Order: sequence, then C-alpha cells, then structure tokens
Amino acid sequence: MDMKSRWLASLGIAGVMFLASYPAAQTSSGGAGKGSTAKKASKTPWGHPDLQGVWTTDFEQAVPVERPAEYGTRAELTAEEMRKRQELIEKRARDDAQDRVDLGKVPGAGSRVQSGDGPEHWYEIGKSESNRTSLIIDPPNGRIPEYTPEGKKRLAKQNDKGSFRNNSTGPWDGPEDLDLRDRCITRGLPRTWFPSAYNNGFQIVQTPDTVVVYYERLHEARVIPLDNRPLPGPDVREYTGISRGRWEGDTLVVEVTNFSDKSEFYGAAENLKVTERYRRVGDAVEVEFTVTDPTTWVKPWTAKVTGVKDPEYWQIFEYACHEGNYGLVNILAGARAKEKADAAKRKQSNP
Amino acid sequence: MERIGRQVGSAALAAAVVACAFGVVQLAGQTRGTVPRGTDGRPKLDGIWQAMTTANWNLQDHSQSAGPPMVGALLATPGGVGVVEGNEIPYRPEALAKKKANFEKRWTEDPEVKCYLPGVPRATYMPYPFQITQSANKILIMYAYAGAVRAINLDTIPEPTVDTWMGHSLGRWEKDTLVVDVSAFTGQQWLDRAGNHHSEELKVTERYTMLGPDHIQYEATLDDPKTFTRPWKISLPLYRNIDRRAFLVNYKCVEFSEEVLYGHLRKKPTP
Repeated sequence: MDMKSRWLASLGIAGVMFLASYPAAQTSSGGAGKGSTAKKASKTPWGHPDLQGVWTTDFEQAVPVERPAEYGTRAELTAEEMRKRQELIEKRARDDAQDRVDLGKVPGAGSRVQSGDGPEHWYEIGKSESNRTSLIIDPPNGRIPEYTPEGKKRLAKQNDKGSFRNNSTGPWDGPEDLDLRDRCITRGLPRTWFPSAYNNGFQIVQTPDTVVVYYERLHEARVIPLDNRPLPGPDVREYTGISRGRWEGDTLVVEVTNFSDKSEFYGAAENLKVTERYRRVGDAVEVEFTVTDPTTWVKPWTAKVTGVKDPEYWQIFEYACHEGNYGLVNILAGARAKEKADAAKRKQSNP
Repeated sequence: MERIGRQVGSAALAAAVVACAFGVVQLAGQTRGTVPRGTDGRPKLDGIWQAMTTANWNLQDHSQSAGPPMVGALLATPGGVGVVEGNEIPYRPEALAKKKANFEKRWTEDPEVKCYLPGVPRATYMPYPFQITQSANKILIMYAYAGAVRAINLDTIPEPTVDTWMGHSLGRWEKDTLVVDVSAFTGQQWLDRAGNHHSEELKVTERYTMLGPDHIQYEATLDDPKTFTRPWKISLPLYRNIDRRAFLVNYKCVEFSEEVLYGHLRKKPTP
C-alpha cells in the first residue's frame, strides 16, 4: 500500500472508532491517574487509543537491557531466580555502607559510591516487579547483535566517555570527555526509554494530529506530528532525532531519523533509525522500539518497555539537570586537583 | 490596490471599535477570523507560536545599544517599544539596585548565557518558537529554547514541595481565556537581558486569549512583594507559525554554555 492510501485507510479506521466510541467517550485524563481500578475509556473522544497520562517504567528497573547469557532464549525468570534478584534489589535499596562495598564486587549491580553519584534518597530502587530477563526482545537471545568493525570503534569511543557508569579511566580534560548524560545535554533516544535508578516517569498528551511524549529525565519532550508533515532535509539534525508518527490500527507507529553525529546510542549516531510502536494494553502502555543502523550492527534489534500507572507517581517534576550540574564541576575540578598533586609528588621524588 | 486598502482600513476600524469595547486598547487589528475550538467548545491553542518583540533584550522601552564588543554588531541590542503596561517596573529600592548591578554584568551573569531554564514569563517572549499541545486537563508547552517544558494542570494538583525554574502551573478557563497561576520559582531567573529580575516569592498570572486563528493575546501579571511595590503587567501578541512545514526544532543550548561554565576547569583553562 502506498503512503497516501495507507494514511487514508487509517483515517477510515479512526472514523469508525470515533463513531463506535463517541456515545461513551469521556475526556480522558492527561495525568493524575490515581489508581487504576475504575474502568476507564481507553479511547480518546476522537477515537484513537488513549495513551495519555503519567506512566512509569520503575517496575522494570531491575531488568537488564541485554539478557545474561545463562538465560539463553528464556524471556522470564523462574521464581527462584526472581527471589535472588529481589534480594539484590533490596540490598541496593538499603542505605548501608557494607552493602555498597559488597555490591561494588557484583558485576552490573552498581556500587553507588563513585563520583557523580547522588545520595541514596535520590534513588527509586526496590519498585521492580517485572520478571523479564532482558528489555531486548529481538534477537531471541535478548542481546545486541554483532557490531560492524566501524560500529565497534564508535562504541568504544562512546563508552570511553563518562564517569562511574563505565569505569572510564579518563581523560577528564574538559566537558567533552564526559557523555551526554553527564553533561545534562540529553538522555538520548531511544536510551531514555530504558529505566534507570530514578525519574522513570513520562507523560503523554494527545490531540488528533499530535502526540507529545514528555520524559521527566532531563525534561525532554518530543512533539510527534501525525499529519504527514514533511521531514526536513538531512542537514537538520537533533540529538534525539526528528519524529514523525501515524496510527496503524490501534498502534501508534513513530519513525525517528535525522539523528545528530553527536548522538550516542550503543555505538550508533547519525545513521540511527528508530521505529517505535506504542500500544495501550489494559492499564499500561507498551512501547516497542526497533533500532536499525547497518553501519553499527549487522541487523536491527528490538526492545520493549512497559509504562504503568503508579498512584505515587502522578505528575512529572522538573528535572533541572544542567542548572545543578555539580557532578561535572567536581569531576573536572577533581581531575585538576589530582594532576596538581601528581605533579607535586613527581617533583618531590625527582628534586 | 485601493480596494484592498479600504478593506484593511475598515477591518482595522472595526477591530479598534471591538478592542475599545473590551477595554483592550493595545494591539487592535488582529481580530479577524474565527477562533479554532475543540469538541469541548474551548479555544484550541494548539500550534507553534512566537513573540515578535524585543522584550527579551529589555522589557521596557529602549533604544539600540552595544552588545559584547568582541562580536561586533552580531549581539547588539535592537531598539524597541516595551511590553510593560505604563512602562514602569515598580521595584523596591534594593531590588532596583540589584537590577542595576545585574545590568552591569549582563554579558556573563544572565542565566541565558548559561542556558539555564528561562522561567515564566520570559520563556514566552524569548526570540524562539514554542509549541502548545492542549488536552482536556493538561496543556503542555514545549519551548525550543533549552528544551524547556511546562505542564499546565487544569485539574487540581498539590503544589510541589521544591522550587522550580519553570514554575508550577495551575490553569483554568475564564470564558475564552486560559488563565494560569504560576508559582514555586527558585528566584534565580532573570526577566530579560537587561537584568530585570524577581524573587522566589513571584506569582505570575498569565492570560492567553485567542484573537483569531493565528494570534494569541498574552498577558502576565507579576506579583512579588519582596521585589516590587505593586503587581505589574506585561502584554504582547503571539503569532502562529503558519508554514506548513514548520515543526519545533529544539535549541538545546547546554553545550554552548560549557565554555563559560567550565572553561576554567579544563586541563588547558580557557583564558
């Protein structure tokens, strides 16, 4: 089907939905979802599936992006494996000095004692209830496919940036040596979909021709036009790309292109293409995204996250990252102090 | 030519009459065309908007003046008619002294230099577009500058317990006007590049009134007893970007502020 007729077809479907749902249509809440017991209309008054509200991925916080190899193609943990993971999570959630030291020895558990890290009350550890073994759902082993030689090089370069997360050994000569998160520039797309230790909320607001996805982390809002608005030429690029969406039946399909050559996503940058699929499933919104970049990976891969309503997480707070970026100041100042101390030591040993 | 001229003339006259009837003396002439409305009958503010003033340089009347010397004419200040009702900002004496001090160090201390979130109402009249997306009980405003975002809550939600850069916005409809009460500011924002400022006690009341399909009349009343002797008001029109290809291109300026903020911490410090 060509572009135009597909568009008309989805308009037709939207029209039918409009008629079907109109008598019962309530204007749905764009937020403040206090509990989800009440049976709510899951369609907007104009007949699109209703994705609106404040959602959080906190419940998948402990699910790794890539599946540990020992689980093979198994998508869910056994009860015993789940119990063990919960134990580790509870340990992380406690503010205990010995726990921190112990966890520092567990690969992937995070020690939270390093530069740039916040106090324990910043973190929302402990809400994870999902028993999924990985956020990646395709390939079937839940792991990022093989890198191209060029992609491998770019990945190493991106990974070398940063602070505690990737145990970077520096240099820390200037802000550019840190990654886009440390610099409060962007969480990146689709990386911002991956739940992290805090602020996993996002809010969706819809109109018949626009969807806005507003992530709490780094106050990043994506305006997604649904009206076939043309993409700009290849010289207009953004860190989080440029999004265009359409409804395919009950699925919102969003294609994101025009990424910046400074974007950082697992080795990919300006050649990245992201195709997102949003679906309202009961009281949740599921977002599947496929990432394609033949210059980075030998084949596309797909991950899925689930946004749920949490009665305690019903509004997006301001995430003024850059305005309070003491972490970056301290990392650079620390590096300068160390250089000074090292120079003094050298002078002392070679007078 | 003459015919068009006459039409425009009579439209302007009609608009002026309407404007006077509503007590809106400024900005007559933009009342042609019908206001777009949603299924709920409310005006639809959806779209990409931008101010067309020099208010971000100086809220008050001002003549042109020099910018930072090293960039020639590039960052000089264009002259312009202010947006402050009566052109007076009623500072308390110590607040006026602070404004003057701010002005002296404006090329380094304006939060805009640092790409900090602009606050309200400054976000509205910065020389960058913003987009409004309106649903029944939440209205989001996405500003190109610094990727600033506000959620205007038309439903009642509690005040946040911490101060913010973009404020906490509670909205309601008064007939066809969207009225937004904004509070909970850090007080670190500036109102323009001329050093106008406010404290953490600021409460802003914004009024968005559509004049036609492509214009919004924007008003903001600023009440901050710690800084001002009385509430005062700004007023300016907002214009829709009618280009069919238009979309909001973010201006994520953080990286351009790094030299100013962190240059002294480089291995080779920026002189």
